[in-house]
Amino acid sequence: MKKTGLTRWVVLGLLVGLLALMLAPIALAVINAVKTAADYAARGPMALPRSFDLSGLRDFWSHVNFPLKLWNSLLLSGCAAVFGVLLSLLNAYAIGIGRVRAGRGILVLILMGIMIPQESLVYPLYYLTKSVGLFDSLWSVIIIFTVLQAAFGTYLLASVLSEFPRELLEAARVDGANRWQILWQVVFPILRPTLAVLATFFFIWTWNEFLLPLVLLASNDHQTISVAMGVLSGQYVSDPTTTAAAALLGILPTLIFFLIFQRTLTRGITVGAVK
Amino acid sequence: MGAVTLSGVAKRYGGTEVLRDINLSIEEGEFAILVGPSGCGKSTLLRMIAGLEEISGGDISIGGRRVNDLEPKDRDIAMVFQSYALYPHMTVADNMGFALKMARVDAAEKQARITRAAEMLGLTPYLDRYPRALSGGQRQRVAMGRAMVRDPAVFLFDEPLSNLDAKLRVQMRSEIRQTQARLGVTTVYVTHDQIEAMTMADRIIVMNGGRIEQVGTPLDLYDRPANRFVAEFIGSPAMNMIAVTDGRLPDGTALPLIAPAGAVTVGLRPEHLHPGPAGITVQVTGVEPTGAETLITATLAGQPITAALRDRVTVRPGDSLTLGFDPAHLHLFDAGSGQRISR
Amino acid sequence: MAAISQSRRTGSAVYWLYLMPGLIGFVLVVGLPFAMNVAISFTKWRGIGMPSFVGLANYDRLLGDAAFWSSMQHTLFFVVAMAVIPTILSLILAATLFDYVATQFGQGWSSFFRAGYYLPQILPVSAAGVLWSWILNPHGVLNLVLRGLGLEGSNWLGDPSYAIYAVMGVMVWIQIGYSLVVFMSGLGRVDPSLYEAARLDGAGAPQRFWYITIPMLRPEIAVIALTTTIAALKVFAPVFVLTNGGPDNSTIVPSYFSYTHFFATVRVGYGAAISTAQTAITILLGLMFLRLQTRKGDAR
Repeated sequence: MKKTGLTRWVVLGLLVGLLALMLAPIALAVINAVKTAADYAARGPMALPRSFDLSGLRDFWSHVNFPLKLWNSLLLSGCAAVFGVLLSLLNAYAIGIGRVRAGRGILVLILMGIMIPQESLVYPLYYLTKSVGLFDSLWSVIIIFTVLQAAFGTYLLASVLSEFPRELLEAARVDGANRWQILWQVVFPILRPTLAVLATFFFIWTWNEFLLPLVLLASNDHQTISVAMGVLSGQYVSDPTTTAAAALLGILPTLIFFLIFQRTLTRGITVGAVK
Repeated sequence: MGAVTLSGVAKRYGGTEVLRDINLSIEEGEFAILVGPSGCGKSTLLRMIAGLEEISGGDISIGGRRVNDLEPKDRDIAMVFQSYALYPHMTVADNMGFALKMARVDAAEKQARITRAAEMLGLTPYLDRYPRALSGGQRQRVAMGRAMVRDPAVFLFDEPLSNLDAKLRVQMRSEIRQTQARLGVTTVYVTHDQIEAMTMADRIIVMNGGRIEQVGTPLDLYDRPANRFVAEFIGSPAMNMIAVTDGRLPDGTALPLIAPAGAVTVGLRPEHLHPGPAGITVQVTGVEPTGAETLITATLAGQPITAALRDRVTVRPGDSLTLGFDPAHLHLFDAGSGQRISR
Repeated sequence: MAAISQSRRTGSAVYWLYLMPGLIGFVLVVGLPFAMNVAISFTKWRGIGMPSFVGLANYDRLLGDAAFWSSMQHTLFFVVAMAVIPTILSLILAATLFDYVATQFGQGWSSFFRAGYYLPQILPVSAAGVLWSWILNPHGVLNLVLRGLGLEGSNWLGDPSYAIYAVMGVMVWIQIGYSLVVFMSGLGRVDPSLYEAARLDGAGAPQRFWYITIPMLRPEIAVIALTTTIAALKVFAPVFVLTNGGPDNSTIVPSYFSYTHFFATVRVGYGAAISTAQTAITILLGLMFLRLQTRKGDAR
């Protein structure tokens, strides 16, 4: 079935060309982040580095207190991912398996909640967190993203759980398990792969969230990487290699995450298209 | 201790009644099979005994205790499901032990019961495997084992063999029957396969349209079906039904038998026909030799008729064939109600 | 009888306990703030003190605000950049990778390309913004390269006639991966023998694309169209980091528009009106999509 001849290589060439174009910005950040300013000035951004200088990276690292931002991002995303999955599971168990009345109504409500732009929530959330003393606290943002991610997760898991094998649940009932035991000893272990995928996506989505952390985490000490990068943009224009270093550091954690979870991430996840 | 009694049991979904006034008593140690076409309510009835479906009316008691409002786990029953419903994330041993774990049976006792059941079912080498690594027959045995370790008063089986291939089904049929006989546990078994019912049951309950048509031993049902439905459901190929008026077929041919005046339906099993000099003359439409017997499809005065002949015959479609029978093998049914007419 | 229906009702009621944490959270994080936002939109409020009720005055003003209308117009540009172009491109890419690369060069190559094209999708938008403004600024990489080729560069993000297209380009770069992986996983459930049968029937690659890939991916296309369109209506971070809505409002979008009124000019009531209008449009559009999809589902 394999064809020989030119077409194969033309197609492959086009795909490789497109890939190079897609990845060029990232590659440019890498090669320019480790150059000296003099090297950049002399040979331009496209040339491979002749010098090796980590001072740009180091400057940015300490300038924005990168380790702290990294920790904030990790804490926020990790908690939102784990709590979001657990909350989704509880909701979906009631709707998909418990078939509570108004289950469909709740799903429609949740779907509309997913569609609401965060701009419509941001000021009241800003006001509310301020008035209850939870402003500029990572925990309030963790709670908010737990709920927001769980809205999506509930929608998705409810349809997965509504197709959960009925006989398995009945067997567990006959075996004497109550609802709580059925959830944790039968449903949870069987669903674990799906939940892991969900957690992976919740993590990366929360990591990349911008508006709410920008508004609700006002102080430098509580900023996430995503917010720190957004606030910084434009500041280093005069110093191209430091800007490249900043961009590189901003995407580096995600790159590492991508390399680890590439298989999961590229399987994709959407409401409705999950079977 | 393990007798199951149903009195006036009914099931309604909204306005539709799927089971009405079911009265039945299954004796201690008996192997009772609920059989009927799909949608007849047999599975629903089993699930009501198990406690998986609410009871809309009447009473169910197990071992003399009314169980209507008890949870499945409190009814002293164990169930084998059609899909086996094995927990995919647990080993065979954990699957079998799950109910005991839920009941907080102590570890040593649990282990002993699992070991005993596994030995009985030949599952000892597979105790550490997961269900996905087992064959269909082995999974079936694990499902049985899971029921056995609980040492219940009643076993409930919901079409447990329908996911197996034909050969394995025959083998598992006798395994289940032997295991039940050894344990002596009252068993209620649901199937749509009348051969399964005939070969396994002490007593068969034939159901249709939410009602019980007849209860009896397999040979009872075969020899003296109470009505046309049971007559046609039990036995394969199905019993021939011939419309007869005043002892004559519609085209006027007199049947060589003593039939009451008026319209009746005469039933005659295909295996009770044999080639003979006297009897009915049929027009052959098809010949299917299976080796052991030859299946003849034909028409008798325009009505379809089937004969299963032990002897080899050389007929071809289009031929006429005379078939004889023993009048003692005839069944008579009321043409209107379909009820058996006693002779 | 009474006892039975009673017990069934409690049976289902127990599950409400499982829903409680989620429902409380949803009310606190989405329901209440959204209701407050709608309420605020009918007031004049500086964020402190008591808001004063002004009825529909904010909405009235909105209809006459040129900035609002240009933000709506730019939203259409973002629909093109985030929904239309990436969907078309990634459909072609997905079909090529699935039907050509995977069969000609092997599954590994197909997965490799998919991963590569997907990468920009998961980068933090703000970090991508830093990266792109470094590339697109007047002394940035792009202009240096163009100059090297003897071409005239430009202030891509600073020139009102280019800025929106520059941001659109970045959005295409970000979005391709999302629809690509969804389409690829959709193709994963298509029986490959369908493609083989089509090949035996003499269907070339374009015919297979048109008569197999597109119809088989219809559910995914609908989902992608819906989710990316909604994302385009909400777009905020890229505008915030790349252009701040400028120059001269040439890239302003509703989200950024309401953000500046909330937190820069502190016209909270007006900001709330903008975001409420934006929400209404988004949900209306979303429900329309869903209606369309369920009706199609019914017909099938």
